[in-house]
Amino acid sequence: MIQCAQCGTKNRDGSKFCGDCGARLVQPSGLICPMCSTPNTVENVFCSKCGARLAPLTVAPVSEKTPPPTPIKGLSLPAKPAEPIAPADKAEPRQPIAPTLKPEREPSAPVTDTEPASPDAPPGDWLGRLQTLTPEEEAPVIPAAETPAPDSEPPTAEEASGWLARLRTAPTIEEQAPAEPSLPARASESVEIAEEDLPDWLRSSSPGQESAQDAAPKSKDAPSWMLPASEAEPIVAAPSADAEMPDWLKDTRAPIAPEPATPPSERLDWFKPVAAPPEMPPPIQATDAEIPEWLKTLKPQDEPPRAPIAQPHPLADTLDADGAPPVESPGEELLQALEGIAPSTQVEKPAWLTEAPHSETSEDEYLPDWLRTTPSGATPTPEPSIEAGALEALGEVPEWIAALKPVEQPVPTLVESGPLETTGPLSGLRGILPLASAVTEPHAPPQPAPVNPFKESARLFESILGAPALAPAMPAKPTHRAWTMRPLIYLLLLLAILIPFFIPDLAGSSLRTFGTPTADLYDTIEKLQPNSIVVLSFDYDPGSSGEMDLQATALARHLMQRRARIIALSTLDPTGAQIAQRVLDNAARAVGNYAYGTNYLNLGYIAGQEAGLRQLATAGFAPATRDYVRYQTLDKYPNLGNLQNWRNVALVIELAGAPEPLQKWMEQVQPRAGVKIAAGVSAAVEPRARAYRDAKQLTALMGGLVGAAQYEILSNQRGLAVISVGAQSTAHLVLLGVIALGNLMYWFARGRGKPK
Amino acid sequence: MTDPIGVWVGAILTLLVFSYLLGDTPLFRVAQAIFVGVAIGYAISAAVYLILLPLLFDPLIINPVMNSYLVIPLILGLLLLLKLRTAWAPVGNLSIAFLFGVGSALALGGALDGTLLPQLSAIVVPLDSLENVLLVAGTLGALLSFRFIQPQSGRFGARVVETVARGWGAFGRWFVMIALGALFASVAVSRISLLVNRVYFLLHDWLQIVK
Repeated sequence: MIQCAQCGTKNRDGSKFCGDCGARLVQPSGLICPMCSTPNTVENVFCSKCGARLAPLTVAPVSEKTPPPTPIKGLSLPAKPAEPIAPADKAEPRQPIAPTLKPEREPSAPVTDTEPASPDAPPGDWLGRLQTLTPEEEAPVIPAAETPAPDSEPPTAEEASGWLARLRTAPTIEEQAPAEPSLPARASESVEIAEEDLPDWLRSSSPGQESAQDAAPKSKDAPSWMLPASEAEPIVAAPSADAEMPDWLKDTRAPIAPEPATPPSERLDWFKPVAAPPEMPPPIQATDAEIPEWLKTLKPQDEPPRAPIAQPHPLADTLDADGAPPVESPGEELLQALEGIAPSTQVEKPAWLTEAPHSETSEDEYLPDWLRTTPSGATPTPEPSIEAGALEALGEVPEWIAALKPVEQPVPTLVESGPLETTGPLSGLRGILPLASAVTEPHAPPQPAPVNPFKESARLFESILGAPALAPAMPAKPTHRAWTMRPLIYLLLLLAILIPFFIPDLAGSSLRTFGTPTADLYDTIEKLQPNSIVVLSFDYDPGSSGEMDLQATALARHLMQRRARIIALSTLDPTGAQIAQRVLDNAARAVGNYAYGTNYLNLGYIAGQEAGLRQLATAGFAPATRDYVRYQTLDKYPNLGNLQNWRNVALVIELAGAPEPLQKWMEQVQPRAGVKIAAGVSAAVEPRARAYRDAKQLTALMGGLVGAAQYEILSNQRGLAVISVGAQSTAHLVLLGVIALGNLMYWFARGRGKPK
Repeated sequence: MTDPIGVWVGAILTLLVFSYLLGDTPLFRVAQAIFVGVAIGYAISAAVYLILLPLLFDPLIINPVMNSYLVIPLILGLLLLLKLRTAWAPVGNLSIAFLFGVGSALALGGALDGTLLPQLSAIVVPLDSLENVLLVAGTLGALLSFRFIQPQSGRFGARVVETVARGWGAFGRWFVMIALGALFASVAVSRISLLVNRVYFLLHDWLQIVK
């Protein structure tokens, strides 16, 4: 995950812009070393190849808490003593430190402990401490108009490159850059660096090869604000000869014992040698040959007009003197010494220097009010170009120092390249792909990523589960033609059904009865002996009673005519028992002299479906303990014989309005009971019942309304079935005509190009 | 049908159902609700008077010692009531498992004995008539039409068998289609019979214009 530096939103790996605020994201990888261009991970503070600092010294608010005691090595320039000192040795990728500049490692003290801030001065303002001095003590400090005070130079040179001053902010580094395990060891060791490792400008500026310890004054001579810097870090003096170095600069090179609570009176001593003009070293006279071209361009006649400067800066005066400026302060001396030797290397400013904004008020911010006023009483006007001029005066900055350049926290910004959209919903955005490029430029089709089939299947399954259930398709709204045709069909069908009722023998005379399965059933019943026990199973419900009642009535009448004893039951649902009782009662009344309990009995509903039928097959009529009408035990009906097994049963007639009851009888009873089974089924069940009939599992079969009519004809009891089969036949003819007409109309419409 | 009230109620309900020919009308919904309510009421009363009382409670009350085994179905039936509460529903699964287990065992055994084996033996007939030939060829073709295996290739014999099986399966598929058509036609015939019965009821019992 990549965390946005602007809003803190966590984005996916590989994201370039924040999904929340749109800010450019800093990739977790690809941190390029500025020295060797080696890619490093973001966790690296130093380059894994060359050791160059990768994590710049970020400008963070100076921590008020106690910084860790970290010695500083490397370049030491006059800096504001009140600010925390950065451990330059950690940021030092190489070892261009002269042995002579090697500081003596001493127990370092926190910077903030060494210099208590004055209550009047702003926190961290080193100049603020000067305000606490008495007027007598301030006298040598405050420079005259023509002679700049020596203490005005260090901040000038330092603030000209503010980032160099922040090199001493040890707490900042410790907080923001993860320390490598080897860093403390490297920082604590005394580095002995060969002379050839030194940069040229350092080599030339330190001809005496004097050690920094030798050149450093004693701790008591050092000002209190210097103590933390000198002790917390192994300060390396500026590259200049000891003789050419002013005293105040010498003092800065030596580690000074911390003096946490030095009275202001004691601090005054160090100003005396620093501010004394006779002790100033002679200025460095640079010849024309040594002056680089870029310095020559800084002559007054070449300078662009600047903002009005009330108090000319010493450095500007130095540059105006065309290489031989009068050194008016030790700071200027150092700067001029640097300027004089800087042309030996490249002159071009680093890009970060040129791009760095020059704050004109940055120097003023460090100046207390009492210092902003010149000794002559005139208020010094901030010189806008002083910082840039000082940076130019510094000349070439080595790359290893450039790598130490602290940068601001990377503020992700949107890409400002590309044309600015002025219209449309994307107005105000830059970098939108132009339409012409999007159309004209060839686009490579995206390569499909390798798909895991299992994941794809899982994703598809998940999408199917998550998809909302489709509503059942609503029937299409009937068209005008449908509304006109539908009643016509209804009317035709009604007429086809009504006509046979007024012409009774319309179809009955043409009904064939010989050689049909119905005839087999009729013959089977005809062969029954009187008082034979016949089981009628009424396995249909009122929904199909309009068709099945005709069969049941014809069979019951015939059985009663044959004086068979009828045992009725139902195995499909309880309604079958009620239907059975109604049919048998009607048939008994029609036949006459046929009584319930004596000639026929209703056992009611046999529960259990397959289990009940299996029990019937294996245990006789044990499941039926009581009759349906009188709710008496079966032993109360001795005329119906022994019903404990199927041996006394002559025939079973299954009346099924659905295929399931017939199938259960065939599967549970027929193979085990060893009894003849015939069936009267509805027309819908007849195709399936024919399979059992062809397999000789059924003794006889009567199917549908036609079967009932056949049986009425066979038993010479023409009735409703014969009339109904005529109506059914005419209805079938009408349906066939409608189907044929509909298909013809469809084909004609299709031929004319109108499928509907 | 001699009950005039029953005839009028039956006639009105029949007309309400026929109103569905004009669409899903409220009249049809009224008749539908009446049918559902009457059917459920009748099923409950039948279950009590035809099953629970004569087969369970009466034996337990009259002779509990001899019929003590009926406690088992009583407990299983009571466990089914626990299905009404979601938290206790898993307990009722015991009865459901018993019912499904017994029913499946009986159905499988009965299907083997009563349908599969007798039907297979029914096609073992002498091929002395066109009917028997069509019976055997159609049965085997219908079975081959449900052959869902990878087409065989390679040896010549395998390819021949594959070709014959595929062709025979296509032939059997026609038998399956004819059988399904016959089933659909038989259902239509059955429903026409019910329509005729209802029209006769209206004309004979209600309007009494037909003898």
